[in-house]
Amino acid sequence: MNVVHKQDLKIFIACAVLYAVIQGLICLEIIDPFWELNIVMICINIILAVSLNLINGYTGQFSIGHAGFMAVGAYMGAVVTMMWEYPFALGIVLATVAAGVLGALIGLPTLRLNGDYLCIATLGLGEIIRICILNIEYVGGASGLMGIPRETTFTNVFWIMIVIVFFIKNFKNSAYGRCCLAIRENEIAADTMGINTTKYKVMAFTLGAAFAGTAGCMFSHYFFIAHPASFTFMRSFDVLTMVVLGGLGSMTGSIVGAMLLTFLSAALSDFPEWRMIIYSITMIVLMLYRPQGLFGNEELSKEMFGRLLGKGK
Amino acid sequence: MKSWKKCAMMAAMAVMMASSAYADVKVGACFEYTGGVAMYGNHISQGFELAAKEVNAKGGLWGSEKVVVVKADNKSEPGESGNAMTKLVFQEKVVAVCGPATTGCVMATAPITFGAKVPQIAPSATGEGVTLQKNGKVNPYMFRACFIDPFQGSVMAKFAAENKKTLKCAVYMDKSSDYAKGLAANFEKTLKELGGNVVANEAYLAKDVDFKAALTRLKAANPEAIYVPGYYEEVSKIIKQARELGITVPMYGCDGWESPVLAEIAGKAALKDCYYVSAFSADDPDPSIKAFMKAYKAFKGENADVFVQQGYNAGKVLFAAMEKAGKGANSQAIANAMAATKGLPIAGGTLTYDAKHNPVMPGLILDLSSGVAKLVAKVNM
Repeated sequence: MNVVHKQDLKIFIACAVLYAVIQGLICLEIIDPFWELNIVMICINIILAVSLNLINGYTGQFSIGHAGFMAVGAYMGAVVTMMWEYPFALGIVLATVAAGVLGALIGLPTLRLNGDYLCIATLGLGEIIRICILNIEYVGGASGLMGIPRETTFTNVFWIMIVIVFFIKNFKNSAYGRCCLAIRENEIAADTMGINTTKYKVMAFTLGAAFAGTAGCMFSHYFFIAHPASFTFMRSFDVLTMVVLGGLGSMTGSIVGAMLLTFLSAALSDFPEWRMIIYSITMIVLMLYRPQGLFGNEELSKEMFGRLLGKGK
Repeated sequence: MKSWKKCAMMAAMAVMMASSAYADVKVGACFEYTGGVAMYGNHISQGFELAAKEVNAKGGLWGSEKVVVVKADNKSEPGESGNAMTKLVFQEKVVAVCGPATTGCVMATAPITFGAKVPQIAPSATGEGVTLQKNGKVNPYMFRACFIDPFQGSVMAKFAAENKKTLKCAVYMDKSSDYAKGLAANFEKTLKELGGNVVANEAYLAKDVDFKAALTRLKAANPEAIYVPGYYEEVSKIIKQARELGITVPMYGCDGWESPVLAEIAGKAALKDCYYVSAFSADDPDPSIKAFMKAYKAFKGENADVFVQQGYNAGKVLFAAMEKAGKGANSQAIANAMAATKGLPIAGGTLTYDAKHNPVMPGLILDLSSGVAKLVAKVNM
């Protein structure tokens, strides 16, 4: 067994322990349904942030249409389980595939753009998806799809999250992932080196979109409803904020960002008037003092702790 | 170290004493305090708080317990509504909740209150399915304080047939909205029951600007009045163009007409003989409305609108039911008391629940002839 695998195993065991502890606390009702809901929300947000990080952070393509793919997954999953009455597992798979296929279709033409142009194109696409759903009577139109069974539990959302996080981590460390990183660093240089930039960009975009679909499916099956108002560009910005807060290109950064912002939003729910102000101030302070995000593009590791402690001395 | 412990113990005791001295009863308010429809949410919530304040001013519920309103923000978003409602029900352990404002958000919270058996009153959710379960049965814990959309169509038909004696009506509806379709269907149904008939049907789409072709066809059918369910943006242009074509018969509408923009675009002259249905009118001579307007002015320093009234009435229904159910009553008893609400005085009349937990209360007919809406009739169904 080589070093990498050993480390993976350690992290995996740590995850299993974490799962056991949280599940235990939920069973003993020490964690009440409100916090259970927010833990599920954290897991969903981690899936969203990590998958967006694959597009924005690793491949350097600035996409802000994530809510659109999430909406596709949410509706697709709901249609499968509620209208066609197939099991939830199939709902997740089809939601993921549907969002992925749409991501590939949309990615092919738009990824020829870059920078601000791509940014605006993806923003527009996210809205187009939402407006389309708004006008499809079959899925409830403006009043949304109601009466979705609550199939998402802490258990399934947690393990799906772990699988996706490991998948993206391994993707990044694979030959494909290195191509993506090369494109981020310098697209022209990567092209010159013989990397098929379009292929890898579309690949990253498709994977990111597909996982956003998974998250959407988990979301609609937890909150009983798929409603167009849940998937406005504000949702895309929320996810983008998590990624940027944690540091573009850092997976642990995305995870910490998702946890921090979801927690902040839940903890401040008693002060609706103050929440947005505190939220914004956090952002401004962070951008002033750490424009690269909490972790920059590094991963949280033992070395990082070591360095921080060393600095402290 | 010791003084630390002492302090902590004293604080703990103080908290315990405080909580036992004021045996408050907590009710939740889950509303759109921020986000897209924050205006609705805030106004309804203020109406609800006013109702709670009045109960407390009279010594609280059951003569001793103060009502405490616990607020939770749903950010105008269905997913967040579930979040906020879970917090109210499981963390704050409220005995009943009021809200949210919009149908989508209410539907997202219904499974939570249903599962926890907590009575919920949605002040302004007009969607027909709100008080029903998935299988079509009534949700025993869900109520509302506004009339449902189709009800308005019936009110208008009754006004048309009985007050205006216009039995031959034409319908010109917004085909892109379920709201307008539901109204048109109920208008026609009630009109036929009252001996009238719909002589012509036309439809338009939201964002249309030219209505003259359809209006000419309607004119040819020679109706005694035209019913135009839709929103003020198109309706204002329809009224203007109809009058330009020489159509002088009365025009009837729904609460989608309610906006100062309507009079601006259509012009005062065109609005002669135009009527619409609303649940609230500030110049209502009813003493309950006068008292309510005054109380709200003293509470927030501004004039109440229909949303404040709905929140206030929701509070009235809820607190009356809690009072009736008795001290320490469980949620089931409160829900039963709410369902049995009959002839309860509210701001603007009385309220009785039908079998589907929809309120039966008077609909107001407002006349636009003078350019501003004036109350002309109250229609009881």
